[in-house]
Amino acid sequence: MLEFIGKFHPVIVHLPIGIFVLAILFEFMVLSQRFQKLESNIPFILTVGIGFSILSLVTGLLLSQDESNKKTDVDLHKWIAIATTFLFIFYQVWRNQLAEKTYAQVLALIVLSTSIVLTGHFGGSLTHGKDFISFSNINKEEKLVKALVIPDINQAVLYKDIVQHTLSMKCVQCHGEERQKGKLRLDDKNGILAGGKNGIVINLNQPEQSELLKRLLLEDNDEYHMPPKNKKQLTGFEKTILQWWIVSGASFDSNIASMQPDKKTKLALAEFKKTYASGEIEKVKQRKEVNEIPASLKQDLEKDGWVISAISKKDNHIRAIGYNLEKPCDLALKKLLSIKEQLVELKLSSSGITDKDLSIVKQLSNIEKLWLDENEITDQGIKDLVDLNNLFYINLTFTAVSKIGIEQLMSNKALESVYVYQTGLNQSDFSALKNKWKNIKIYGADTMIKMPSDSLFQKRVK
Amino acid sequence: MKKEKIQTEAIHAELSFETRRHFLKQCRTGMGMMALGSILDGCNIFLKENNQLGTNPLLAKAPHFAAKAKSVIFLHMAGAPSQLEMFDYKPELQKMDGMDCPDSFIKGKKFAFIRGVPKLLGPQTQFKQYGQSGLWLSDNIPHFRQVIDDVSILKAVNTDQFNHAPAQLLMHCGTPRLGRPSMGSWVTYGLGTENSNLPGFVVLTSGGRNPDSGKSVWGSGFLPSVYQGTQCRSEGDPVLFLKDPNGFNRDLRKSSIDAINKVNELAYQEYNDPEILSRIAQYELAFKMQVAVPDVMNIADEPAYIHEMYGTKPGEESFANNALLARKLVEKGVRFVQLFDWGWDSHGTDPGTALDMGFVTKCRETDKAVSALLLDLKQRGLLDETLVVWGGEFGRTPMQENRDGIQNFHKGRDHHADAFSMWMAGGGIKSGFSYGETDPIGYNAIDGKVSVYDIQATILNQLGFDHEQLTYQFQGRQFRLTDVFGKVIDPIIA
Repeated sequence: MLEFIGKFHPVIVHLPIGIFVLAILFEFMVLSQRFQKLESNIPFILTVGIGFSILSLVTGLLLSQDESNKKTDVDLHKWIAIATTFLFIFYQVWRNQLAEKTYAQVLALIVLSTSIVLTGHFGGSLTHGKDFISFSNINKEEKLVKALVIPDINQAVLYKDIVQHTLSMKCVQCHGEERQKGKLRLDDKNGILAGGKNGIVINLNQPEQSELLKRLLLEDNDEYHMPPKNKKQLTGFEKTILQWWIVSGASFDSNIASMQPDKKTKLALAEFKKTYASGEIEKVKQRKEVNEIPASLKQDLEKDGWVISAISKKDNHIRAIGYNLEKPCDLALKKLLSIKEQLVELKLSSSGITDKDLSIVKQLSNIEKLWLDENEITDQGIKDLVDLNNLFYINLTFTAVSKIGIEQLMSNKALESVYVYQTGLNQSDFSALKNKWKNIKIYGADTMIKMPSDSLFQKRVK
Repeated sequence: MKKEKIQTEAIHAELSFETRRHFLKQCRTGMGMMALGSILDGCNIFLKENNQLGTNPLLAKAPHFAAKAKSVIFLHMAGAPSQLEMFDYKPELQKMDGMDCPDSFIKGKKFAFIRGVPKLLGPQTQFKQYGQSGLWLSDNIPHFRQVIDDVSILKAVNTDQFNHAPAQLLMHCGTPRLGRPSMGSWVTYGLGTENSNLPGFVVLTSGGRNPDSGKSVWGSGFLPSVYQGTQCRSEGDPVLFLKDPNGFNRDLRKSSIDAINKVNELAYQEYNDPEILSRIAQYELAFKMQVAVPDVMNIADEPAYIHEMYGTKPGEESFANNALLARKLVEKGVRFVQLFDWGWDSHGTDPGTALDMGFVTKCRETDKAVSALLLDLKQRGLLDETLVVWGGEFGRTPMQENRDGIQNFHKGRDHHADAFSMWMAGGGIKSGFSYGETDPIGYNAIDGKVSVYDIQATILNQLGFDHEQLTYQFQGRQFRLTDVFGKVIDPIIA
């Protein structure tokens, strides 16, 4: 019952904060002659505020019995809150004895305001997480991805090298050192074996009945499913591996070879290695946040034949498609300079652009994907694209570009894939390029395989 | 006098929208609704989403999150091809060929034609492993070996319909009954089109017949009709009635469409019916299509090696021609291309539906074109952004069909809903991968079972949609393609 009352703490805390802020506001307002009347209200407001403040303290103390948060964080919030309450009580007593406003009182008010802000901030950190207020746009989950090195998956220690990686990426945010929801810690052996509020999570006698396993395998939208619906979920292979680990006895030091994985588990392990420990550090494409382009500008571009759409509802970067551009193209292209900051994908397939138009494309420095296929483009124009530092995909199929032009492009440091089907490249040029730039994928000539003849069917069809 | 008459007519026309039913309804609730409506207006967060009024309904729109695929080619083998003669290799079934089907499989089950105790039927072809991925493929689809390392095969797809029409509706509209929008309509509704001169959703059929469920499988249901699929033909005029009559030039056409649209705009201002916007958009699109469609639908200009690769012959109605057209359409920014190829219903009642005759012919008609389509998309750099989906509406039984209790003369299989194979390729799907497993005779899914809704959720996911959020308000509730089901098939996503 008491614990239940404690749950109202996050609601009630807003009352004293609001009321105290009002009191402080009134204190400053009465400095002006116009608001002198308000003076008589202040003692009452302060009394009500102190009342709710005490109520918040009581509920807060009840809530803190449930130790799902790090103790030192809770303590910090608790003591600042108690101090704030007492400061207000002292202030109330003191101000009632004062005959008129003094500088000391103004100073006291500033101290009081600060203590409210601090109490609120540390309380907020407990509920929203410490990094909730932050200027950084970096996806917080990304930070957790550590580059793993697993030279031979069979020699890896299942718990240390694989299971713990999954747990720390998907579970430890809430069940770790900082927070222990349900009093459960999954960041080390002791925590896992100790279990949580509702008992053990790994049942060594009946591993299939382990709470940890059961929760993972529930339907995603089930109330008891873990991780909760809005959190990052385990992938299929991670579930398979965790299930295998628990069912085979949740050993903390066996290596994989000694546990003799079956076919399905081997596949999952291979996939784990491919995903997290392939040795390739995936280039994380991070874009700066940009503003939405104005509707009038969008309409203006549409009049020239551009199809403009944002990358997604959350990302204002732009994909522009020019299948039906108004001719001449250079005028339409020049208009793109006004959305230069947002433009990341530009499709100019069979739009009729020429080499000299590429000097405009050159200025669109944020471009990541560029389609120039089926246009009269030569090596001359390609030279202009060398400085596009974000370009990682370029489609040059059905253009007159040759080996020279493509070699120039290869110096673009972000470049990942180049499509050169039906260009001036012959088979030997193509092989030479492939050998020289092994980290860039070049698609074209050699994928044009002749289809096997129909004779494959002859023997079967009667 | 005449003017007066026209005015009276106009008033009467307007009154005809005001029926007795409207009157009674409005008397009761009208005033209250007016008051409430003005208060609640700002609360309706969906208003903006659904009422994109005053703008072209086909404008390109942003998805919920960054998309891996921009367009979809759905190759539907209507009639349901046999997974046991294509992708799902069952050596155990071969050993049990000719034995009575165990009771446990048929007890309490309903089949379309099987009655009594049928006999098990082993695979009617040879299988081998191919590609780096070592996936099993049958001899029926020899060309497919070359692209096997580009696809993800789903071997345990499951549906709950065992008749063609409802199963096709379920696959494309998310319900076995009529009246819901098809997947292509949902996608064009959500994303608009990238080429304003072409329809966003094109349908091509082959095999001599439309799918059993009729045109509803590409209908727009309750979505504005501008989102319905446009059926194009590879024989004769690509779109019927698109040509101007002789002696009617393009300027005249333009001005007549402008005049019609002006009247429609007035009507829209009066009634606010989104269908009028659809009509305006359709007129404008049709005008542009008069030039753009014959161009994109003309495969005669393709080079000879392309024709050889796909096995196409310009001017005839064939799956191969449609496959080539699908590539051309996607290349031009069409959002959703739906191919139906009829004739896969291999019951074994006649040579045309026998697994060792008609079925082999169907494989032969499509195998080369399907493989060529994947290769062609890949070499042109289109496969990263194009999701290709292949499948039937259900699968076929491991038992030989015994129609009305008598074994069919030819080797054939009945409709089977419990497990069948589909594949996806491109558009951010894993390559050279197989997901799901069936039991030793290929009857039930034992691992990696996915439903038709999961397929739909995955397609929408690759296009950047949360399938639970892509909704449309109709008859008082939010509808979505996957109804209340569906889970994205994560294991096949690269």
